[in-house]
Amino acid sequence: MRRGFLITVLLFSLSISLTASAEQIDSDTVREWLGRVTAAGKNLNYEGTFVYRHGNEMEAVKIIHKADDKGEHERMISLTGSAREIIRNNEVVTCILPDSKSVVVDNKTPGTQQLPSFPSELGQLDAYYDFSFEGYERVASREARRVVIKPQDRFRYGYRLWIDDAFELLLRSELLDPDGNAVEQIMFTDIKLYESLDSDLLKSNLSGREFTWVTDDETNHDKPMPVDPHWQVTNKPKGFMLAHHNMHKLPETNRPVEHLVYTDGLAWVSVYIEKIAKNSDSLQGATSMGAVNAYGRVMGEYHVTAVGEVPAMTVEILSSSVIHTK
Amino acid sequence: MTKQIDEKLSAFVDGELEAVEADRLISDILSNDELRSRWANYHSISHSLNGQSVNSEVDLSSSISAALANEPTVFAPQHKKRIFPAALKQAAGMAIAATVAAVAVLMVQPEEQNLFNPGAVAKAPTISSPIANQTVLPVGVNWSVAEPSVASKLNAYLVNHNGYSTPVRGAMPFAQIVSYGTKHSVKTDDSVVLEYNPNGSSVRR
Repeated sequence: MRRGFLITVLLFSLSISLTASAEQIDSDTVREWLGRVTAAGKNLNYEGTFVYRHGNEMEAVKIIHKADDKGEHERMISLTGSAREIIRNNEVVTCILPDSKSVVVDNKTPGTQQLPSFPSELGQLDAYYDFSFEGYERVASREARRVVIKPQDRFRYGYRLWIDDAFELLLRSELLDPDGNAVEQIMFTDIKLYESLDSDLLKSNLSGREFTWVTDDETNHDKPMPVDPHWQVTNKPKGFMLAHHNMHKLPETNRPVEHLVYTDGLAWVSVYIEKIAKNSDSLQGATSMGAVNAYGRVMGEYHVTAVGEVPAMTVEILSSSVIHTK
Repeated sequence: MTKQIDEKLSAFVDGELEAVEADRLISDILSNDELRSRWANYHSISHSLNGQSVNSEVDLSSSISAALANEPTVFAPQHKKRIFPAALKQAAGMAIAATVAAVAVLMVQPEEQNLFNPGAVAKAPTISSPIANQTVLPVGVNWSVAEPSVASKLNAYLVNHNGYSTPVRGAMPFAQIVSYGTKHSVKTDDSVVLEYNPNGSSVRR
């Protein structure tokens, strides 16, 4: 009896300490942590394997990452399905696809801008998300801090992140739908960090003999094209701001596409506006792939599609509220 | 019969099949569809058990196919195997992987394939490799839309979108791209291809 009481007390105090371990943190702390995560992913030398699950599919990928005075070098090899490989030297990305027996080399034109950062006028993330630190957990036999980012409405996904406590690498991440179910998961199963790595590890063993090489020799495809400022999205969930407005040619059709990118700082949605052409099928209504949702509709002689890792409702709202103000 | 074949394949995988038998098995694999797919399964199983990357296979393929032509005894049992099981397991795995690649190369008629032509957009040859066909998935299998052309367009949008967004993915920003590669890399009719460009255009055919 006495013992039973003791156990009850112990369990009770344990449950208190567990609850207490989920502490609120502010968005600045999280932003700083995410900044360090990004930097760690870039600046460290590591080799590991991660699993990637989206929808009903699961893949295992080996990653080797090297950082030196010449920049970032990375090699990813899929361990499941066909032996796809991606080799990246700074901005040059080479995809090797054994199924199609082809190698693609993509060369970023020098002098073009870096990958997008947060729009400067973006408000505090804590107007749309709640942040909490949930204590420590082991991932890939390393100690990790568990952080939960919970959206305050149903227009964006949440995140559960496990950050390596010593090296700040993201060891595991889950994208959560508004009901808290994981729609996409990435997790390292093992990871080793190194002072330095041999460059030979970054080279593909593929000789290229059996492969067709496709090199991006059209230097003009990054050439800026004029955008039409009259395209506007009039209805956006709270916090979504325009981060980019571009015009490019998608190689699929080689026709110009107006491209507007919206973000709240964590979630990103692209809106594509394309003139309807003959013999061209386009999405009408909603569809999804894993965590990604898309919504398409016809607007006069244009076709509008919104795509992004956000709930279905959000792409529908953005796509449906596109207007041309002229 | 099937059991016998399985035993042979298993012995071959472990490097324990005699040269003459191994030679016969290779001929059988080359001429029998069912056996080929069985062999591919064995290959992928032994592969995942060995936990090694697949890319070593292609590197060795030409030398192994030459060896296949001239010197079939290359597959004789390896007696030292028991002494350093781990290291040799790895080596055996590589040899098997190489063999599979050799089989694939033989099936694909290497003389038509040697189009190492950097800088040019060459047309990809039709793939007849049994191994390649093993891993093929239907195009756009994941989008919940019926028409492949719509799915393919959505893929183009999505890959482009990935170049513009910075989702919380840490060290694995290309994970999706590797995964989407499965869907893109299947159109055996032209020289398809998935390309990632942080600035804009993305999927190319």
